[in-house]
Amino acid sequence: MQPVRMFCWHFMAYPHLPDDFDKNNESGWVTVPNKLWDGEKSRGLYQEYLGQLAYADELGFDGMVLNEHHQNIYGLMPSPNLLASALTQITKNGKIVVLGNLPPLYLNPLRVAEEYAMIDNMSNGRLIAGFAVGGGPEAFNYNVPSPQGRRRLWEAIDLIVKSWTDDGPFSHEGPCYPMRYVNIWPKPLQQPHPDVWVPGSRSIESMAEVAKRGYCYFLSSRSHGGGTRMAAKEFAGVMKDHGKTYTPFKMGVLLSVYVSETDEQARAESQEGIFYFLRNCLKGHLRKEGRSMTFGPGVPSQSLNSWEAFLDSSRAAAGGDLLGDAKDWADLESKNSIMVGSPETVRKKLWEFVEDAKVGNLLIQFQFGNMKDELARKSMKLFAEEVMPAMRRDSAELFAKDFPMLDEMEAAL
Amino acid sequence: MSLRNIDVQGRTVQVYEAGTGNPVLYLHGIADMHGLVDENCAFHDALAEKFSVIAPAMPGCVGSDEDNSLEGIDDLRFHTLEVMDALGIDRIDIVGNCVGGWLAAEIAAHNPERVGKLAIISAPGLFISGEQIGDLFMAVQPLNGKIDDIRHMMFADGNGVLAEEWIPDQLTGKLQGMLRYKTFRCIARFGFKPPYFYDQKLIDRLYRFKGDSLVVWGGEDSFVPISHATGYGENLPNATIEIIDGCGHAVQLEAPDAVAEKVTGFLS
Repeated sequence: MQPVRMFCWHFMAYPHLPDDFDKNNESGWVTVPNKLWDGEKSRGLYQEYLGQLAYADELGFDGMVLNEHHQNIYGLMPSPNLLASALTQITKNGKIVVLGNLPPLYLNPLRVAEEYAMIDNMSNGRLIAGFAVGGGPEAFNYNVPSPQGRRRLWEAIDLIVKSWTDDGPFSHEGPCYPMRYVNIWPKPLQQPHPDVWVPGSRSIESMAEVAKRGYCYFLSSRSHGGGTRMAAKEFAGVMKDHGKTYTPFKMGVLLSVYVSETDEQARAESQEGIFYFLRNCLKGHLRKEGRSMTFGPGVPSQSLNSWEAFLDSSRAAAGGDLLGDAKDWADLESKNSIMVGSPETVRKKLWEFVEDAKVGNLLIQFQFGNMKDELARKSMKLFAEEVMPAMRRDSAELFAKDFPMLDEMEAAL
Repeated sequence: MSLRNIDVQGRTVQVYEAGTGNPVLYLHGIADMHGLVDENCAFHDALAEKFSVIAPAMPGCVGSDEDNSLEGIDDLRFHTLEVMDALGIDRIDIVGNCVGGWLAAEIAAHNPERVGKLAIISAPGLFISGEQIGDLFMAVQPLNGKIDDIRHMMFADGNGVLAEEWIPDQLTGKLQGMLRYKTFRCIARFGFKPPYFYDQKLIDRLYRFKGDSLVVWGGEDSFVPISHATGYGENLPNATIEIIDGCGHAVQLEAPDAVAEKVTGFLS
């Protein structure tokens, strides 16, 4: 019996923006002036955020999730590996999910192979290794020559995994990263290698690349509904086409949650943090207002197929709202991405989602924008005590019924 | 005017041809290629009154195949030499606009034997310290749903009808959306990453082209500073510089007749 896995996701947003930030800045990314960084107010910020992730481990979450972003106020994690390294020392049980490093931004992917191998050893085999191509802002931040980005990504992933599994020294002849000596020390602890997760936004090429290697597909969408169920179905189909078996644990999604004693209280407590996150952190990323660096013809990070799908989608139309465009709670509800309410409300919403999409890895954001430490912790605690147990019980039954091969796979191990 | 597809080392390249007379190879820029918007070819038409204009679309642009091996201006130069080979062109006068002008200058410096006369218009390609070429990829990212910045970068009157017509906020359909995106993907291959739209060594290699050259620039170019016109003019041995006042980067769209007159006079 395998229940749904619930991870605690953190963006580590910059929480000290002035109240008039939205009025005076076109984006929270790339060009957002770093004179807004307040060193004194930010003293202890990383300690606070790391403390929340360590608390998630204490509360029994399945793991902690980090991510890589550059030159922005959305996520202060240009190097998730530094934070993962800190987590190895202050957590004991949960997986450390780095989702992910962005190999096309680096000169040499072996650095990623080496750092991940170190984290895996330092954490006693708790690393989940994520790899991503980087979004529009990263293209601007790091000069990624983007039509080649995906080619570089997959060559890097294959080289990294080979460096973990094959004995060195061996030479690598790939066009992007030719290398005479591949011979990394240390090797990762987990055998044959740490689980690999790769995000995608429903493009069929990415799904196929993930599926044929049997890795876990992380759907990087911020709205959940029929689209998520369809994506899971599509990915299951693509895996089957490549002779692999889909289980709910081959897919993950990002959701956000705030739990308090009652629905009213949950909204009252989370309103400031959530709307700070939507208005400021998503500006330039998932908002129509401001400078869009995620969807514009000058962003060369999308494949032709993804761009075609984007032009087909409602997002490209003038009326297509993005998550950050939500003006009020009713708007937010319709996206089904940020679930706010009493334990009962959140349990119900989350269960409806799991029952519908049958996705096994739930990556859940608890801290939003400038949300205070005590509120984020309170919400995590209520979730762990009053939502998680029922989710685990019910999902284990559901998955056992719908995915009988899970038990066989477990027995085979 | 006619369009045909030719095979270049296994890749399809779409070639626009118009007019009769001495052949001229026209290398396009970002917005002036045939097929992007209707009736867009005023400059092409003016040239075609005197010459036989041959204008291949760059890889990924309008009817030409994408080329994933294209990673820099040198690859584009080889590609263009292959296009000339496929067309049976040994030596030809070249007119290049914007990135096409940079490409023309590269061909003239590396392969001077393939070039008769050289006319370049508003071309990036040179590194001149402190005189940065603009970031058109950022300028075309929508700000509150509008792409005003790219219109101001390309046109002297960024709010004008011409700018709006050439670079509309909302494209009329998916086909146009894909054409625009593919054009930016093409130029991203050699202009997005450093060196940004320049070849550090080109300026010191321009001396190799001993033929006549013409350098045409809009006096208010906001993408490639006018100092780059001087850079080309002073380093090409036999160059004339012509500045068209009141025009921006897209000078041959803003003043097609004036530019055509200069170019035609030079080539005749």
